[in-house]
Amino acid sequence: MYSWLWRKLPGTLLLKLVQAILLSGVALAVMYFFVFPWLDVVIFPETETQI
Amino acid sequence: MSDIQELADGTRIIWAPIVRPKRFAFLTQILGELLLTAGVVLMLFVGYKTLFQDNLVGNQQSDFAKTYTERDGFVALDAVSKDADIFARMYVPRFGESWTRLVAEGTRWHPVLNEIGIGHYVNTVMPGEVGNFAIAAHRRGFGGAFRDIDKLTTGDRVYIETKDTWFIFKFLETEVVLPTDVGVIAPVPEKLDGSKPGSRYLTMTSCTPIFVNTERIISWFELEQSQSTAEGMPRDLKIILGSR
Repeated sequence: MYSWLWRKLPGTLLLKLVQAILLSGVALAVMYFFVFPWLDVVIFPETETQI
Repeated sequence: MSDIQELADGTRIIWAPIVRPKRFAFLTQILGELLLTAGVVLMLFVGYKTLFQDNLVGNQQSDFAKTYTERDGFVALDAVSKDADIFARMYVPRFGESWTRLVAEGTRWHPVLNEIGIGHYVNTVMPGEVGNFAIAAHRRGFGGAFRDIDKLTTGDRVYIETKDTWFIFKFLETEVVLPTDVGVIAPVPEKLDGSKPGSRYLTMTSCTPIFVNTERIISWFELEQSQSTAEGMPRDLKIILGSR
């Protein structure tokens, strides 16, 4: 999966590295600002017993 | 099997057969990568809960508390009537010189504990009244307002600013109890050494141990002094905040 993605990235080794870092950053940002806040509510619904 | 070819100059070339991965190997590779990805995502989520979200929300609550009165003002203590009415701002120098949070009515996660910071148990008295003014906040996560509650010690003071009055409470003691020990927020707190009727207490409650939450940590204070907000911020607090 990841090797396939790596092969699909265009350019030289350096360019591939830059693209891989950028893609990882975008994935991280999406998780931290959208996925995790949603997941947090799903996993930890409001209760009155734990503070 | 591999074929060996020998060139005229004696160089030997070994032709290895191309081994194509079987379907099972391909599927296990995909499964392995997915499991590894899931592990990394789980670790990132733990980091999100314990560091990212905690600090982000903590800063938001602190900024909200520092600028609140300029925009909205506090609900007067005798006018507090509904959930999430914000009626006070709390300063605990032991938690940091710049530490401050708002106090609202009720102890619901949303919007009181998660967004505002500190919640007041509705069945307890307001600050300054005879009895027990009991409040709760998160220990970790959503700003963890009471994260350092276990560091409170003799000589510590808590400052509560309301619409008309400043209340200064001095630290008495800290105790770890079971969640069922609700008597700790009674008007005469159970488990507090020397507690007596007619006193004006402040009880801070939170979860412990951090991330485990099977017990509750309780810190008791007693009213030491009160003064009108017209007199300005208490002198010793002003000195503490002025030293930032």
